[in-house]
Amino acid sequence: MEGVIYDETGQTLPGAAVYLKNKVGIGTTSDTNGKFKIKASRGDMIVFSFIGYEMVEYLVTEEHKDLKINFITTSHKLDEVVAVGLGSVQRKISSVAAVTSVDVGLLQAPTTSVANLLGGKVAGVISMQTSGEPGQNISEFWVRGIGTFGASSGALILIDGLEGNLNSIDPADIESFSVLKDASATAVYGVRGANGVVIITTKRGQEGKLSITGRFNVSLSHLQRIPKYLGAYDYSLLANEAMEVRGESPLYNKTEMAIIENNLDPDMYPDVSWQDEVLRKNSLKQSYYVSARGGGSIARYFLSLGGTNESAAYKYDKNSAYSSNVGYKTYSFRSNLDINLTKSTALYFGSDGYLSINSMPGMGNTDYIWMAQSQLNPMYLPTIYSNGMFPAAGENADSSPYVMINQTGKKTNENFKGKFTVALSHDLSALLEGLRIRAQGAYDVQHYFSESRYIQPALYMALERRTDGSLVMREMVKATPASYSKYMNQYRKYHFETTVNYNNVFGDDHRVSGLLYYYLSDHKYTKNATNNMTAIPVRYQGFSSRFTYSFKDTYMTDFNFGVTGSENFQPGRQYGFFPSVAIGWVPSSYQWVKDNISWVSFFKIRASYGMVGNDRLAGTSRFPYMTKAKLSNSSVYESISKVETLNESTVGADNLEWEKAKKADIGIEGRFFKDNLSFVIDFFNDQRDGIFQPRAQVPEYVGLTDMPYGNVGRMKSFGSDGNISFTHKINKNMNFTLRGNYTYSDTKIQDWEQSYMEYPYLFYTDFPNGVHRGYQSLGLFKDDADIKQSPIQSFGTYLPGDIKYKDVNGDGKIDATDKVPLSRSTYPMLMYGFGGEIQYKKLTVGVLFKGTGRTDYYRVGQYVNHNGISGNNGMGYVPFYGGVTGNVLTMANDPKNRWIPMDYALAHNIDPALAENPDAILPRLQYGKNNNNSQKSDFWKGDGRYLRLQEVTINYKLNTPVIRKLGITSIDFQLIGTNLYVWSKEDVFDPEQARYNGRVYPIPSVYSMQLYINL
Amino acid sequence: MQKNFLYSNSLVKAAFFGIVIIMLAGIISCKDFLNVDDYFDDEFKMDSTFTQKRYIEAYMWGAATLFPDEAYTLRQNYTPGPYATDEGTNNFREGNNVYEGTNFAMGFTTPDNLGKLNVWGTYYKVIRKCNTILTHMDEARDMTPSDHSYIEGYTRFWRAYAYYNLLVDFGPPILLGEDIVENNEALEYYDRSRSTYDEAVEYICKEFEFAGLKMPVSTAIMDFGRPTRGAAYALIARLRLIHASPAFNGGAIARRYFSDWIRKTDGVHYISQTPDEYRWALAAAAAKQVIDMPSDVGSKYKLYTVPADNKTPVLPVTSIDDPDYTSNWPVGAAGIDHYRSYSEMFSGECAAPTVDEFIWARKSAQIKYLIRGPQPISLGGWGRFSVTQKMVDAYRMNDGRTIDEAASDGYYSESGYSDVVKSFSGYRLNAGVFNMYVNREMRFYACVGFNEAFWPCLSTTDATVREHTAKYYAYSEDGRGVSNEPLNYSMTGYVLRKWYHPMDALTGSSARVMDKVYPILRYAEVLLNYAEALNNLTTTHSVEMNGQTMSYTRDMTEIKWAFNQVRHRAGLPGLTDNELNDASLVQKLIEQERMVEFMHENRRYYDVRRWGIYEETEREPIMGMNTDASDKDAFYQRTMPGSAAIHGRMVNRKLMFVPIPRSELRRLPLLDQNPGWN
Repeated sequence: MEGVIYDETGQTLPGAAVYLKNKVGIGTTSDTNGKFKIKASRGDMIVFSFIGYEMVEYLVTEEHKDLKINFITTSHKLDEVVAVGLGSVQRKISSVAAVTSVDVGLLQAPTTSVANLLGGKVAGVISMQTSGEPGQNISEFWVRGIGTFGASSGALILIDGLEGNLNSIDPADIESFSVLKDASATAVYGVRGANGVVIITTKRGQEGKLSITGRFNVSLSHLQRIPKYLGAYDYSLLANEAMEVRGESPLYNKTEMAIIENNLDPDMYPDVSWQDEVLRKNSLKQSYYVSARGGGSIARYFLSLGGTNESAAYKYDKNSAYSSNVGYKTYSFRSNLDINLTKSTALYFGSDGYLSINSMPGMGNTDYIWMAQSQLNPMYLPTIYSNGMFPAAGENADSSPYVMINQTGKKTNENFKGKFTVALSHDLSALLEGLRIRAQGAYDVQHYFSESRYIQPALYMALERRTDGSLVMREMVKATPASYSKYMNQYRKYHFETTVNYNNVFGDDHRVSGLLYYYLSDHKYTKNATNNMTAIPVRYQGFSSRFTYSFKDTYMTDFNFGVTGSENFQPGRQYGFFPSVAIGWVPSSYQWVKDNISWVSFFKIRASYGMVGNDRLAGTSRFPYMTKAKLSNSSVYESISKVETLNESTVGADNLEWEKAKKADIGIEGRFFKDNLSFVIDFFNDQRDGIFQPRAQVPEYVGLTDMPYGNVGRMKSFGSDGNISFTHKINKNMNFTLRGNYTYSDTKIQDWEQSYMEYPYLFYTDFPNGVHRGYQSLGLFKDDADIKQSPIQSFGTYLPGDIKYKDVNGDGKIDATDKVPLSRSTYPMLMYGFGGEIQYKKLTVGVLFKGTGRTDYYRVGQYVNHNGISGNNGMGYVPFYGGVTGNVLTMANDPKNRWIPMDYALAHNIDPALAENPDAILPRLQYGKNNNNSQKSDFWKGDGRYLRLQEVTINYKLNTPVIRKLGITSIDFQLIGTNLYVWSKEDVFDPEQARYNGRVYPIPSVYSMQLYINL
Repeated sequence: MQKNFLYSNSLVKAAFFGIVIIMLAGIISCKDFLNVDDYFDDEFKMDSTFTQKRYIEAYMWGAATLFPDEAYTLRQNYTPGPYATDEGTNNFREGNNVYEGTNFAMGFTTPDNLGKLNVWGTYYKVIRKCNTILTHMDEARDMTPSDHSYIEGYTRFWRAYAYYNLLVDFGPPILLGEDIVENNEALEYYDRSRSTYDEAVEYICKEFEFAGLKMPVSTAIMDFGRPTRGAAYALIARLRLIHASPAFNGGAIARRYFSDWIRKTDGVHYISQTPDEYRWALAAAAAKQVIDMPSDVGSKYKLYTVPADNKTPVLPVTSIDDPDYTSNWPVGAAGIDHYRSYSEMFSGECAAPTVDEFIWARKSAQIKYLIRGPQPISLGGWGRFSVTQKMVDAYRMNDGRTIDEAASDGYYSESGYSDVVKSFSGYRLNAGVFNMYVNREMRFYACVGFNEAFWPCLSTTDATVREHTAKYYAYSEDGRGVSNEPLNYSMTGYVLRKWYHPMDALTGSSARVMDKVYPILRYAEVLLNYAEALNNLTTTHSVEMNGQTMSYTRDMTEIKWAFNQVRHRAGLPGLTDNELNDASLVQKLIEQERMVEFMHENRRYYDVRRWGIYEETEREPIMGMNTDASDKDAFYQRTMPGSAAIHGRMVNRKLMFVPIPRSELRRLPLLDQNPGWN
């Protein structure tokens, strides 16, 4: 048989696989002109296949020399499938679960982690990014928001069926990406499914010619929204004001002011902008990726190899032996092999590895670099003293960031993740049509290794200048000689599962599928394990089943259940039963609809209800059922000698069970106007019962030495998510797609067992999860009379221009019982994205905006936790927050932004119209922390909503015959910009990290050039 | 398809069966897969406790460590203690220096804010542990009958002692019996009500009785501090006496305080409203049980005495008609050193484990630490643990007369100053002290530090600290206005000296403080309990105890025998026959004797309550010397100190009991609060 293969546009298609279906080992590929030649006999079935095109089968009846085979692009319509978990796929039309399948093509922007690509693109996902530093620039995300106030609110992520991490997979390896949101999809995961499941499958080999993809990328990161601080002279003027308006003498006298203004003494009165000293604003990232895919009818393979190298925007001194920039390098490989052992038995062998190397200065905590910028005022320390000594005011964030980067040595964190999987599957159609069985085993190992070569030079501060001009120096940080240290921990997991799958169609109308799944896994993570308890393996074992039935693709139903167990509970109570049911109805399948409402190409209504579980406790607590005791020696009644005593160290409860999520979901899906408009909308209600929390209300007479955990918390989260897309083909050369999606999730705590408090608003119950609590401010005190007439504020002294709080309980004083829920959580409740592509011939331009709604943060008094920071914020925003520490933002220099007493304004040439401004955003200045003003109150509330121009992609595809002649199928030239602009009420910091007051690495704008080459 | 299967080669079959086998293996192994018990071998699970006698005993001692140190009665106290009575006072009440007695007396203690008095749950922790032991102790295979008896005895003692503490401070407790209440249930499950006072007393006494039988009669010196059978019996005696006393034994006083206090579940009065004289007989019998406890030589317990020596002052001549007075101890008061016999029990000078008077006493770091509370400011003390004028006035003269009786002939005088130094029994009474403090009984000198008293502080070699004469005039070295802490001064001009040892010094080189013991139960109390119980009998009652029936009546010989020992040990004459004939007078004398003998030993807080005189004693203003005065004559004026800690005290019947924490009441709708608290 001979012939030519053509694609849809009529061009010949080289490299397509041609083989005989029933004769193993006979096959060929089309040549550069699309021609093929294969020996076949009558009755043979010739199969033509090529990635991205529908497979074509041709039954040989007679000899042909000019067979024309026309390939059509794989249709994503009727037989489009969705991954529904447990390694199985369902035809999209008959899927009744709430599953978001993500177009993998949208996940190709260069980024450190796939997690960064989800927000604004995936309906059902809310994400947040808090740092822009290479290695830390990874988003957190939650499926349908945070659904529990108990432990672990993160989704279960499964890569090829095994628990994995989004950070360690290259987007180009992803074949499909789905987010399972409702109980119907997640019930089979039982105890692990309550927070949603992300299912990723990676690319597998395909029969046909070897196809190679190469990707080369270079990115420029540009620091955005770096806080601007005052220079020395402006700083000293405000410092004097801060002293004088509190009745103290000015900090700098006239002589000193003259020295400062003219910068006459760079040792005692320097004028340093640490940003200029340590930041470059721009940094580079490169990434390389190559994959090979191919195979024959017996074995198919997919291999990939990738690497990235990203550096941070720190200026470092190449001459110093101890300098180190922050760098983040990753290396990854993946190998997926599928081998047909026989016609009905297939073997899969997969392995992947990922290594990340995060290098940084020896002091190890790069947050200190940013904290120092926010703490060290321009006059506090010079870059280096004229006598050559390095400066510091204290340890860590109080020392010179220049020294941190350039003089403290090097530290690297290496993280290796490797996975090996073997699976055997067997087609049992011989026994029963549509029956398959599959068994898979996997070993997963992760190794974390951190080593540090640390050195600390002695750091000094000049106290004064002697009359001879020399400086009186005080040693602030002692020198530490170079030292080596290391830290490591290890993770390992083994996993085994078997699946029995059954799929069949009876009489064209009845589609039936059944699935049985059994798995067990055992993992152990020795991080920080200092005792036996944390090093005990975590084990799961479960048995799940799914049964689906659909009739004429019009009525469909799913039953799922999981019986899952975890080692965390006492024998006898280890297993939970998690059932779910879903139904769907597709009116568009009726002939009447097809005939009369032809613009509706597809319409489906579906609903699901079921239960999923969560077995983990907060922190490292495990085995909450167990009462543990500790033997020690104590003196009883202070007897002279000690005797053995035994007391409970933790008290367990023997009636604990799973945290349960009862998930209800209603969704509609539709495609109208020849599929040009499509949408999915889901409404959900997630009722969590039995959330683990330490009991607070067991009466004291029970006599417990420690409160046990109980399944007492209740909370619900509810909301909606959906997406819509509209495609329009303007003409042969031009088409465009518009799409949008949103995720909205609200919560309400129904029961949070707390000890009794005096006022109902002090309880967590009946409020949304994570609400900010603090004082209600009534603006700033106008004058002394205002203070006299107001309730007493019990935090510290206060004057006119300081924050006035509301006496909520009316007891005449402001204290902790006046704290009320002020606003919603720092985590966004709403996330949305919209954008689209326009394609003109071979040029595609894509735009994505992403945004959040209903989220607040507090500039002062909010508890924040980042690497080096842990505590209430305020430093970096409030001028002179720590007295001499506490840098001053330029914003404070504008007289209308701060409350200035009238007499001070008059005496210092400040426009009196701006004095005593009741709307000032900063209260009366104080040199040092003002306890009255640094309470968390809505005075400091910031609106965290933003709209980001998240991605702009320009893609030019080159697949002309010229390059084909070179053996290249296509080349894509891409220009990609990410995080190009942010619209937000917050204008000093990035809204996602504003609560850190500029004390973390900002989220940069990234400009990339990317080249995709397909061979 | 069928064909394919049939013709498939052996590899297929192998693979297929392999899969089946793996699946089966997986499913079979699943049964125990989730049990990680192997890993717990290194952990001490609670379940392991009852496998061995060793652990059960350790768990029992673990329960005992939960009790607060009984010496915490003044500062950071778990019980209201002396500062909630007319014995003493202290300016502080908040901050690190929590003085819950002052808080309680001033009305700052509320069910919402019990501060350190919130030990309601602490005792129940003990009770739960004890119930756990009693339920499971038979599971240990290596338990011998004698181990069993010993552990059970102590376990029951700790449980009864926890209930005893709940009863005397919080009133009738929730009696749990042998219940180990489920620890993780919905709130409704837990709802319970309290017992009545009578039910609690009977339960606790029965338990102490049972415990006492199984407890050792004495401990090794090494184990000093552990209670013994005597402690169990003496606690019964104490509780029986409280139960017989007017406030809890029907009659007018019980009705005055508690007639409205009714259990909501069944309408029963928490405190019986009908008097029962038999309770006094039970109290007498319980005291007698302790008194009669034998040892190898005579009685197990006796009062602590130190033989007289050349520093012992001669017995004063007295007008009081006590023929035994001049006889040798134990019949009379001669032959012993009265100052040292009393003082050494507290100062740390005695060898505590050998003191027969201590039925139960403990070494206490707290009482040693609190030495700084009363010590003069210039010696590094806080100078503020004050003693009231009422307390000073309660001490008799050294000839046994009251100050009123002795004022008539000038033996007691509130004018003028002494002219010579008097040294006796190692104590130095300075020249120039106010005459009020001259010729007083030995317990006064042992317990009260007054203006210009002498503080030897001999352990330091620092001359500026040694041999100090305290001066409490305003702005003088130890007076008001000197310390950086403005509240550091004695409000009354008197400080607590009871636990002070002449060697004790706080500052200066080599300054040291003696180890001290805190007496929980002294034999002196049992004697006075016995005298009081007998004195309240009007007829004869038979009491069966340990199989023997004894009859008790108001036997004056017995009353005199018991009471006079306490007086004689202090160097004072005993009861006269006239006094003995008047039961109500004897009651008054017992009340006065207890106030003096147990000064600051946390008896009076309970005594004034059970006697029903709390309101009367509390209404009398707290008086002292004029510590605002800076010169001598102005200083020695009876004055009501100008301090909020004194003016702010309230008299309220609700202070009969500490309130139950509000949090507990909210959880348990059936639980009634103590009367007067809401």
